[in-house]
Amino acid sequence: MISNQNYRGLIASPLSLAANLLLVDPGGLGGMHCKARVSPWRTAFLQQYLSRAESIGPVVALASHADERSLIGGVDWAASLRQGLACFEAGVLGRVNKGVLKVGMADRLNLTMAGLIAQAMDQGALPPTLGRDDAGCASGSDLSFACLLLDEALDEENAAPGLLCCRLAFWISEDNLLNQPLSMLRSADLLRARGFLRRCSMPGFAYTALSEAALAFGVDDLRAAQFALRAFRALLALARALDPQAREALDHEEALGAVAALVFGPRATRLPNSAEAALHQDQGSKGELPPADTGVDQRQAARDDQHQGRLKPDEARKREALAPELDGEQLQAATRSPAQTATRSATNSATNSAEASDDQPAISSQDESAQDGPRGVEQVLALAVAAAQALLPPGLLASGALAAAALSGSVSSGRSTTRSKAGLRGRSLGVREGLPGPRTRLHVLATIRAAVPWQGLRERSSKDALMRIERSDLRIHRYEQRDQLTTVFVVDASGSAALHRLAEVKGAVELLLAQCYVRRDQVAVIAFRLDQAQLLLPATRSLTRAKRQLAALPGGGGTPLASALALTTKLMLQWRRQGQRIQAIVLSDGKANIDLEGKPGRRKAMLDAQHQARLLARLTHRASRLVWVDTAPRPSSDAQSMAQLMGASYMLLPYANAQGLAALAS
Amino acid sequence: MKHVYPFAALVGQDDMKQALLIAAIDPLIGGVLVFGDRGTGKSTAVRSLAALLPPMQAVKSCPYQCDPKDRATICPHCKRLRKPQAVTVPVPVVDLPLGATEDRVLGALDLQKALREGVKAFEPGLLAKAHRGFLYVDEVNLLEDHLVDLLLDVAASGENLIEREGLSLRHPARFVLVGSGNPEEGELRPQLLDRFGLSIDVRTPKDLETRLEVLKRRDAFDQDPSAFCDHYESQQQALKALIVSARASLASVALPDEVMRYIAQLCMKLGTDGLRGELGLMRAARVLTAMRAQSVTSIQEVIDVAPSVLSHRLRRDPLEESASASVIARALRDMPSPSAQAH
Repeated sequence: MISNQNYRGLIASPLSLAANLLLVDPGGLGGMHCKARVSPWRTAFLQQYLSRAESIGPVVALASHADERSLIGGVDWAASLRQGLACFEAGVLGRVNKGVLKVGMADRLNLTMAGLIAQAMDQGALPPTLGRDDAGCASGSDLSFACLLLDEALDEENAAPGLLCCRLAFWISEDNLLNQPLSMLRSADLLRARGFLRRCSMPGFAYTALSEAALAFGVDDLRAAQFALRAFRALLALARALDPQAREALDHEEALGAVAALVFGPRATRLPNSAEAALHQDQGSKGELPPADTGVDQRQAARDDQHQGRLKPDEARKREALAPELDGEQLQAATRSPAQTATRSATNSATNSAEASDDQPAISSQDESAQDGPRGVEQVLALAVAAAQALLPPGLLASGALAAAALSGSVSSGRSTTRSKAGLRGRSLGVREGLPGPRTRLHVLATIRAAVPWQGLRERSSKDALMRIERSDLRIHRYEQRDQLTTVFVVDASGSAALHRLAEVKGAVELLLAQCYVRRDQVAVIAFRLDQAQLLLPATRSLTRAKRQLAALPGGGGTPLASALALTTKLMLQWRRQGQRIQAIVLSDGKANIDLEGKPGRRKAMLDAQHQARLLARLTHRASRLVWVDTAPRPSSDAQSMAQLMGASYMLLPYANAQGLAALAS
Repeated sequence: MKHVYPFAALVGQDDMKQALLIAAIDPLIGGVLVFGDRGTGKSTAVRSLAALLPPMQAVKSCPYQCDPKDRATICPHCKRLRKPQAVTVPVPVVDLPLGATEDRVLGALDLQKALREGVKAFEPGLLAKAHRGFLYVDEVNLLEDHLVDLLLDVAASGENLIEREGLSLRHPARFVLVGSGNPEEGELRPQLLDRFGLSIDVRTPKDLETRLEVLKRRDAFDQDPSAFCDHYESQQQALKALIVSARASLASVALPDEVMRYIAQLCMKLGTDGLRGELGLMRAARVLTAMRAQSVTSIQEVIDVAPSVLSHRLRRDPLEESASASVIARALRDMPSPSAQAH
C-alpha cells in the first residue's frame, strides 16, 4: 500500500484522478467530456487544470465560430494574393501537439468539425487539406492531444457529437463530480510519469478485471475498456513517479477499481447486480454501516471458498451478488479510515509482491493471472462498484431509465449545424461580390476576371506581382443548403382511444421516416397522458431508433394538454435555434382535464391549456406550421378553439390512420 | 514509419473480415458497407486493409495512378503519353472525411499555378487519389446530400467530370467504396445503399473471452507497435498470399448450373429488387470459392455469403419488424436441400 499522500488523494478523488491521468497520457486517453454549464466550480476547475496543463504543453482553445480551415489549416488568402504564391497557415490542430485542445460550447460543435477532430485523433496526423501535400503534413510527426470538451447542453439531445465523445476516456458532469475539489500534481511528477508510461509492468489479471467490469456495467463500446486499461497504465506510471518504491507496495486491485469506476461509471447502462442491492440497502438504512469485521470475515470466507473450490467465474459472481452491500460499504469505509485499509492491504500483499518482483520492463506474463485472477477480478469489480456510485449517469436508478441510458450512449446529436445560405458546401448558386471569410470561399477565377480590366489603371506594387487585386475585386462562391424539416407529433395518449391512436401515429412516424431519406427530415413524438407530457421519441431520422423507442407505448389516463403544449413550445424553440423548420401535428380532442401542475380539474386544466396554446402561437409563429387533428368522433368546439388560439389549421380525422397522417405531414 | 494495427490481429468479426477480403480480391464486387455500434473495430479493420493489398503497377507521375496497360484510358495525363513508364505503387486507401468540401473531393483549380503562372491547372482531389483503390467513408450515413450525389455519380460512371472555375476535364475514378456507420444515427439513402455490394452488421462482442483478447492485443500494440506487427507478420503475409492467389484463380472458378439455380431461387424467394442480388451473390460466391482454393463453387459458398450480399437488398416494409438477417436465415433454412436440387 502506498502511503504517499498525493497518491491516496488521487485514488480518493475521481475528478483529480481523471485530470492528472489525462496530463500523463493525453493522446492515449483522448480527453475529457465535461458536461456542465458555466458555474464557479467549472471556472475554478478549468483555471486550475489548464494552468497546470499549460506548464506541460500547449493549450489551444477552439473558437466557437472556428471553421474547417482554422482547425486544420489552409490557404492564407491574403498572403497568397500578395505574394502570388499559395501560402498556408497552420490550424489549431497544427499547434496543439502533445497538449490540450479546449473546445468551448461543444454542444454547438458541428459534425464536420467533430469528425475532423476525431479523424486527427484516430490517425495521429492532421487530416489532409487541399493544396497541401498529404505527405507534407504527415511529416509534422505524430499528432497527439487531449481534447477537453466543454459541453453546456441541457439534455441528451443537444449534447456534443457522440462520435467525438466516444473517443474521450473521461466523462465528467456537474452533478457527480465537478463540485469536488481538484488537486493537481506537480508538473515535474506528471512529466516523469510520462517517461514511465511504456515501462510499467501490468498485472496479468488487469485485462480480465477490466473486461469483466465493462460487461458488468453494461458498457459495450470496446474503446471504453481500452481507455480503462490506458488509464490504469497511466496511474501505475504516476504512482512510480510519485514514489519510486511504489511498485512493491502498489495495490493493483484498488487502482484498477478506481479507473474502472472512472471510465465505466458514467457510461454505465446497467448496474452490476451487487451494486443494485448495495444501493437499495443504502437507501433503506441510511447511515447504518454494518460492522466492518463481519464484512471482512464474509469476504474472506467467500474468497477461501473460491480458493479451495475453484468456483467458476459466474458462480463467483453470483456469490458476490449475495453479499454485496457488505463489500461496498466496507470498502467505502476503508478508503476513509487508514487503519482498515491497512488490514485489507495485508491480505493482498501476498498477491502483489509476486507481481512486483521482476524488474523487467515488459508486459507481465499471463500465468500469474491464472492463479490470482478470480480473486483480483472480483475485488476490482467490488471496488469499482463502490467507487462508481458517484459517477453513474443520473436517472440510471429510476425505473425505465435504463433503456434511455443505453440509448444515450449511442445518440449522436450535434445537429446544430449552422445553416447559412452562403455556406461552404451545397449546390453552387454562382458568384457574388464579397470578402472571403470563415464561412465563405473565394472564387479565384471570378476575382481575377474582375481585376483584369483595371490593371492598366493600377500601379504594380513590384515587378514580380502579376496583377494588382483590390478589395472590390474579390468574389465569393454562393452555395445553397437545404433546410431540414422536423415534424413533431403531439399525441393525446389518454382515455380509451389512446392505444389505437398511438399505434397509428407510430405507423405514420415509420412511414415518414421510411420516405424521408432524401429530404433528411426528422420526426419526433410527444405523448401526453396521466399527469404530464413526455418526449417519447426525440427528433430522429433513424428508423431503427424510432422502432426501438416506440415499441412499447403506454396509453390511458388523464389529458394533460397544457403540459404537452408547454413541452412542444420548448422543443420547437430549441429546434429553431438549430436552424430547422418545424411542423407540429397535434392529435387530440382538446378536452384537457389535467392542469400544468399535474393536478386534475377541468376548469384550471382548460385555462392552462389555452394559455399554453397562446404562448405556443406567439413564440413559434414564424418558420413553423401547426396542424390540429381533432380525434373526437364529431367536431368539438374545444379542439376548434384550441386550434384557433394556436394559429393551427384544424382537421377532423376521427379515424386517424397511419397513411393519412403521413400524407398530412409530407 | 507509422505502424498500423495489422489486419491479421483483429479479433472475431469474421463476417466483416471476409467481406473486406472479398472486396480486396475482386474490386468489381461494388464496395462494402459496415453498419454497427461504436467501438467494434470498423475503422481499424478498413484502415488495416491497406497493408494487405499487393502493390500495383501505375504510370509514373500520373496523378491518377493509371494502369500502364490500360490504353483506352481517359486520363488527361496519360492520353498524351506514347510509351508510359511503369512504377510500382501501393494501392491507395483514402479517407473521405465527413465534412469534406467539394473542392477537396472533386479537385479544384491549382491556386499556386493560377496565381504565379497564370495557367488554369487542375489539382486532383480525393477521388483522383482513390482511383484503383479504396475510398473509405466513416459515418457514411451522416454524409451530406450533395456529397452523396457526387459519389453516386462518380461511382456509377467510373469517371470524375469537372466543370467548375473554368476547368473542364474528366479523369478516371474507379474505386471500391467502403462505408461504415451506426444505423441509430440515421438511415442511408437507398440509392447509395444499392451501390454497396456487401453489407455487414457488426455487433460488439458480449463474451468475456473475445473482449479480453481485444483488450490484450490492443494494449500490446500500443505498447510496442513494431514488435506487435512483427509478431503478426507471417499471418499478414499469408493473407497477402491468399489475396494474390485468389485473384489469380478467380477467372477459372466454375459455377455449376445447379448453384446458379439455387441463387436464383433464393433471390426469388426473398423478393430482392432487380437482378443485382443474383449477380452480386454469384460474384461473391466465386470469390469465396477462390479464397478457399476450390475450383468449383458449391452451395455452401452461396450460403456463406448470402447474408452480406442480400441483407440490404430486401424490399423492406417500413412497418416490418424483423431484421433482414433473420429473414435471410429463414429463407436459407426453407430452401430445398442442395441434394434435392441436383437431379
